Amino acid sequence: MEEQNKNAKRREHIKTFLIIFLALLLVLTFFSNTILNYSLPTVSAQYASYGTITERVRGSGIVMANQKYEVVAEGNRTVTSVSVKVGDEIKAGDPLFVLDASQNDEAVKEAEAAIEAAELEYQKALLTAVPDYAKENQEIAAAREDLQIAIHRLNAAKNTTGKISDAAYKQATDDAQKAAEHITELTGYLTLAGSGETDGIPAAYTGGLQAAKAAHDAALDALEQAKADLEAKKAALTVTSAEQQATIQELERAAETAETAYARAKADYEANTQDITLQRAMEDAEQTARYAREDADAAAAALTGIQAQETAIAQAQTAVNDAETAERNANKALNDAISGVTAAIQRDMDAANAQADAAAAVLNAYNQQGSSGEAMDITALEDAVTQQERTVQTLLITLAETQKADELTQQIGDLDLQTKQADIEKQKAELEELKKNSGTVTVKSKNAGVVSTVNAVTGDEVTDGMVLAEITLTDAGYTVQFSVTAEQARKVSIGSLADITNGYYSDLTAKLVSAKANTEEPGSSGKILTFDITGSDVTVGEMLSLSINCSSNSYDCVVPSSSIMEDNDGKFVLVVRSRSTPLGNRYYVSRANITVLASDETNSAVQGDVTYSDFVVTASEEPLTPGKQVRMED
Amino acid sequence: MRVTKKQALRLICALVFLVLCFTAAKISATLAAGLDSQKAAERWAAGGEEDYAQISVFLSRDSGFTEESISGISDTVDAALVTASLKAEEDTRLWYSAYSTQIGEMELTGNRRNAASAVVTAVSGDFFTMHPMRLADGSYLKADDLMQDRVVLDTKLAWQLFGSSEVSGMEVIVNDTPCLVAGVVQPETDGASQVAYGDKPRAYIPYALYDQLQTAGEGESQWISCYEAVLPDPVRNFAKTTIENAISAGDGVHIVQNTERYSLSHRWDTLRHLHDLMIIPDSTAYPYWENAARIREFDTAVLLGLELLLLIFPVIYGLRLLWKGYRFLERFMAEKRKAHQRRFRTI
Repeated sequence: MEEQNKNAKRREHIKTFLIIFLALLLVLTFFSNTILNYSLPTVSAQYASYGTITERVRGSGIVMANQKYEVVAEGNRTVTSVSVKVGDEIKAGDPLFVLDASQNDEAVKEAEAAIEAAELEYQKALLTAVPDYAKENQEIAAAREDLQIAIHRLNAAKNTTGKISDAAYKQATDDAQKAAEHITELTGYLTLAGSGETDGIPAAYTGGLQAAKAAHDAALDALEQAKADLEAKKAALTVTSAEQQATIQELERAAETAETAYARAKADYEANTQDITLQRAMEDAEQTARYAREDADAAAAALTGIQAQETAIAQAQTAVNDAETAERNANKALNDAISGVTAAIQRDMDAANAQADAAAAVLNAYNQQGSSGEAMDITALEDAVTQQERTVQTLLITLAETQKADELTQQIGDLDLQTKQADIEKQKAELEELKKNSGTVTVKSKNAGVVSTVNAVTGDEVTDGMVLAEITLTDAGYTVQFSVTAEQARKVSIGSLADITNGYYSDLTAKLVSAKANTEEPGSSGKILTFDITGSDVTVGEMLSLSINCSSNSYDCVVPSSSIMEDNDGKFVLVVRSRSTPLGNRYYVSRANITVLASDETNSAVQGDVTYSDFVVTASEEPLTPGKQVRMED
Repeated sequence: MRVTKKQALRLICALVFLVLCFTAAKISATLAAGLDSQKAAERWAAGGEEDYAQISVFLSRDSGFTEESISGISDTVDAALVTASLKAEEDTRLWYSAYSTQIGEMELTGNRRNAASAVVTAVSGDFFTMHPMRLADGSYLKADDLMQDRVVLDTKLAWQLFGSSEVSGMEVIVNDTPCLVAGVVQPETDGASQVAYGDKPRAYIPYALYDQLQTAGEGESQWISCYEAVLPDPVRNFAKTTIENAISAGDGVHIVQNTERYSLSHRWDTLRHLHDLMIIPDSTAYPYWENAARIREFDTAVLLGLELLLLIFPVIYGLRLLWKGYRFLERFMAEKRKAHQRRFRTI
């Protein structure tokens, strides 16, 4: 009984366990999709699309005025009151400071003493001596008289010199005769050389001529021999190879014809061996064919010999041509040698002619002078004249220099006097001014603008030239500058307009006017961008943030920068793909390798395995691997 | 053979301990896998055949490590890779590095009236490749950004400054310098990272902006507190040795290999020297992700200890069962031999 109860209980437990198990199975099956979805990582994605990539360069700077001017104190004074403060807008003529002249009296006394001293110097400078040149003129006159005396002595000496002696005359006569004889001899040589008879010409002139002649004779002999050889070979050739080939062709045709006839005759005989006529015809045809073949073969054999003869003729012709060339060269060398001989003789002829001419000139001069004379030495007298001329010149030049120097000194003195006078006038005017300003004075603004700095307060002691305030001129425009890297500077272009990003300014425009090297940081490769600011709604000292567009290009495939990932295989994006299953659409990610073409702060233009309209993952809950199933963010 | 209650209880205990041991191992693996900041090498390898390792270097201010040191390190690593015949494919990178400096607290102002104080970290261009926090809006900072005046906020800071997370492109003032928001990130959600992250909101700025805020004309390079790299590891310890040679380890330099941090052997070492985890060398300040990793190191080391403890009883029980089974088999074979002998005798 107990055993039965135990078994019943066991069966109950098993039944209960099975029911629970089946219920659990059913629930899990129905909600498997939901459970699966919740276990998948959530991703957010965007479509890759056609778009533009625009890079921007940003920066901030303080607005500065393009021009400003400084208000300067005149004289040593005390500030009684200050009428403006930093930031005030003022017009031309507005009062800025009131200054008191408590320290002016000493300045007046100093100025008066300075004027007196200057006038004394001026009076002293007026007393100058007039230059006198009587002594120099006297020296020049004396030097000229000495020169005249020296010239007179020289002329007197020259009248007894310059004649040709008898000994010189005799020498010239001998020279003329010798020259005439030599000329006659050389004329004979020239005639022989012109006719080609060089035997009578001395060996001094005909040096290389014999060798040239021998070479020319040898070349002529060689040429004649080559020609003879060629003629002999030409005569030996009776038939040309072309003619022989024509003959061979005819004989070949005849042989073939005879052989064909023989073949036919043979065939006829074989068809009817009893016919004697056919047999005889065959035998005749065979003999004819054999003779014809032998003739053709002989002709063919002869062709080889004819071709060899023609080759030898061609070679002999080449030899003749070479011999002709050698003969021409030898002839030219011989003509050159003869020309050389003639030229040498002509040179000696010219020298002899010159010698004869010189002798004839001496003889002529002797005949004209009528008598002989003794040559006298006049060099010393000529030297004396030259020396005296130089002395006179030197004295004249010295006088001219002295006069010029004195004139220059006079002019400098006049200028100094003028300067001293002007200085005195200026000091007098300043004294008048000092005397006039000895009372309280109001400093007024010369231009309209905005007060940017005030350097003095009431009660300050200011010195002459001290800057009391700085006024920025509102009419000259404003600038903003900020520094950028070299890379950023390369991207912007001069003349572009920039947007003002820190606030709303209705009529302000900012235009990039320059990009210069950053000199404030030596060694830096950065640049300073300067913008011209125009408009009415601007204040000096205000901070403006500017943003300027760089290049802007359109691309077919632009994705958010946050979707680009990288590993050792390069850059890639994860593209969401879907596949349909019996339980609905399943999403999974796949890898698409890309290269980045351009990027700005939010997007990047890419190319590669991703195309326009692909759904790329921009963020996910956990790291993803290609092929992993994901769930889309709602 | 009848099984007694005691034996059944022992068997059930052994099975339960085994299950608990495997559960602890699974929890340990899950905890380690939850730290994305330690899995940069796996992400970079992307399932390829090459092995990569992630190396982190933590530096104190006295170590003298500045931005100017980075190019020297890159050259040394490139040379080591060339020597090892490792070459990148066209348009790909073989390795990359990221560096950061935890600057401290700064005042930031958005379009709400109150300023917020946030912990600001200066980061290099590849920082977010190394630490891909979830983007709530916008995009990360990149090395090739034209303008280096953008910042990344975390969701808490974005809420405090603007009242929303979708604030990319809006202006934020950092220490009186106007900047733009590049993106908003969600901090890591695993337990260790949340503890290490702290309650203060965080912002990330590029080094160029840090230079502008900090030096203002001094011309000095900023110091770097954390340098991380992912590079090929064709043989054991190649990556770590390369980085050690490039950085010249010394005082104020602490190098960690993240990739094998939670391996069995490393967990055993950590368990044996658990106190070392409590000590921070020199004046190095660890960033929050390293603190989170150290928390998990501690956790996984402790879990390893628990696993070993839980394994004791099943192992002993299993050995005892084996011994009993061996004895049973011995007795069985002996009886068989006796019965066989008895039959022969009868015959």
